[in-house]
Amino acid sequence: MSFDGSIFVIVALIMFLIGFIGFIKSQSAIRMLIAVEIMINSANINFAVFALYNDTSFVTGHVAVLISIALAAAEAAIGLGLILSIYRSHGTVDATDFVEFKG
Amino acid sequence: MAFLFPTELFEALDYLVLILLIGYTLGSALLAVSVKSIYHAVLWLIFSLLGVAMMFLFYAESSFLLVVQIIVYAGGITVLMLFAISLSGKEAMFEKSKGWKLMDWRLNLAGGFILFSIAVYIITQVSSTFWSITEEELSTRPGTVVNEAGNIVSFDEAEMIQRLASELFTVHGGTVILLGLLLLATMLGSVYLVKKEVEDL
Repeated sequence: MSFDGSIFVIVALIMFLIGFIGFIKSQSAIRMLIAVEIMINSANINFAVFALYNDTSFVTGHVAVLISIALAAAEAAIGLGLILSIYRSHGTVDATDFVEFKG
Repeated sequence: MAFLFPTELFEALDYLVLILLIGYTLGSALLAVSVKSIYHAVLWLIFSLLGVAMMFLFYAESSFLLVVQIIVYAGGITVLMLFAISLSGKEAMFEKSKGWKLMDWRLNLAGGFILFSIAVYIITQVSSTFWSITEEELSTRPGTVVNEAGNIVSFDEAEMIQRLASELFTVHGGTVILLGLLLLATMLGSVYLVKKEVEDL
């Protein structure tokens, strides 16, 4: 505990930007999911580290991280199921080729 | 061995470990979104997730979150991704590179400026807002282990896991039930999405 946790805000910010830029610039749908996982993890770092400082029972942030991990698992399962289903019908996983889903 | 070395050395090592861990996590994340092969991207994602798990252990004092992160993320989701890549053919393994030019350069500039402003705002808000609790206040809470000099040594792991369990099933009990329903719906939905079309049914 020789340093405060404020450096983790900056770490999480950089990690979120890495995920965000990766999400924007990627063409593959699987890599988009990877970028989303990175963004979710950057938020989890903040929840877990802040829980030590601003929470009287220390653990509410940890509960939030557990819920977020379960949500991320559900999101990955559904996302990969969608990608496999689209691959079967269209023969591609390239998100820029999914032109039929345009609104 | 601790009396042989000055305490400043240990503090410097603390900082060194922090910087190495941050570099490991952010470097792996950067490689995960930039390498050409999607297989390698998933492998770099595993390293980035392990770095986040180490942050949970060292700086959030929670070995339980470390275990959950390794089992669910590094062990579960990444294997799911590797299977999805294997099942979706050869062209899924490499990304077609179409260059960085996504839109007009003026829009790029405006987007970059907005991102930069958000980053500067967050960094300037960090110091005053979040760290309102001093170490003295922290050391008087239950679960904190303090030595004779009054410095915080560690947090009682067993007590924290016990408190996490009791809070998870009392205060946040409804959320746990909702999560169970969500995971059930996810399981059924993904089975419905990927099942083969059977003509006879």
